Amino acid sequence: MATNTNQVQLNQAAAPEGFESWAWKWMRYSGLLLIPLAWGHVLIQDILVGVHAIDLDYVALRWASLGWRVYDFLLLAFAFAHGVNGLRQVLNDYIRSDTTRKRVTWLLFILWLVLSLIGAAAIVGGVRAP
Amino acid sequence: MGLNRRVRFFAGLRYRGGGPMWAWMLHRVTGVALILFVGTHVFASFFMQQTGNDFATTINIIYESWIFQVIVAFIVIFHGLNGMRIAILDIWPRFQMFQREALWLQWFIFIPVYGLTVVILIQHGLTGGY
Ligand code: HEM
Ligand code: HEM
Repeated sequence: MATNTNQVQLNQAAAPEGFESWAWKWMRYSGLLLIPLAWGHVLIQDILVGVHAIDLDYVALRWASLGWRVYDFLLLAFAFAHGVNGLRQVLNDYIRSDTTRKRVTWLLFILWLVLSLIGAAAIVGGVRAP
Repeated sequence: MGLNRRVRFFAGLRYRGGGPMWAWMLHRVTGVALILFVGTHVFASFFMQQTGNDFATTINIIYESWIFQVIVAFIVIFHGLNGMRIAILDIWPRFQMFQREALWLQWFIFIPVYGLTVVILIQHGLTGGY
């Protein structure tokens, strides 16, 4: 390979600061944080415990400890802030018109808000179904 | 917009991007699939826990089938590993010159991890009775 370190660094253009730049960085850092959060969650629920052992009592038992509530809350917050922003980036790649883009951004913002609130309500409220 | 970017799907796949391009496409597809999954997951959990809603319970029963588990595991493991590669290479650009090797390393990690997961999930499926 002809490339060396200096060349790689020379090729880097200074990124303009602004919302999209923050969003880009956010995807990287939140993604790294999601590795322990999301993988830990799937490892516990799906691989170690297994779906057949999961029912409402199991969930109630887990949420009886504050630690798991905090964990689930972090997972919720990071997964949706990462995922909905990711969805926005994908859609922006295919939408050409500025008006549609603005509308889709608003829709996604509402979607993010609704999902985060529903998830938070579930964690705060705990299991209520008989 | 004069540029015509309409390319048929298979013609697009044969574009000379190769492995890294397919990784990018898979990252996109798995990312969007994840946000759809997590959205319905939180939605269904909320309504099942709060009201015992039948529709929500049905969604959760679909999630419990082993076929669904195997797909979700692929999505979470691939998106996470590939995202980790993207984040590391972007945060420390001097590693960019090893990007092809990084992709190989990624598959090298992915195959045993995913393989083991599938074995465990199918074992759960066989003993769990679904
Ligand atoms: C497991 C840990 C995860 C890591 C390390 C990770 C990493 C990343 C990174 C670095 C990107 C930016 C890609 C780019 O700009 O080219 C990205 C995109 C994305 N992620 Fe994640 N992610 C993770 C989990 C998730 C989860 C849980 C969701 C869904 C809730 C999600 C949904 C998305 C979506 C929709 C995109 C946009 C895809 C694109 O731009 O092509 N990710 N991810
Ligand atoms: C197929 C694998 C999965 C299983 C079996 C599973 C199971 C569960 C269970 C039983 C709960 C109830 C709460 C608890 O017990 O702590 C829960 C909650 C949650 N899961 Fe999963 N999960 C899976 C995959 C995922 C993935 C991939 C994500 C996203 C990265 C995710 C995100 C969440 C979140 C954010 C909550 C909190 C829900 C709320 O706020 O109401 N799950 N999951």
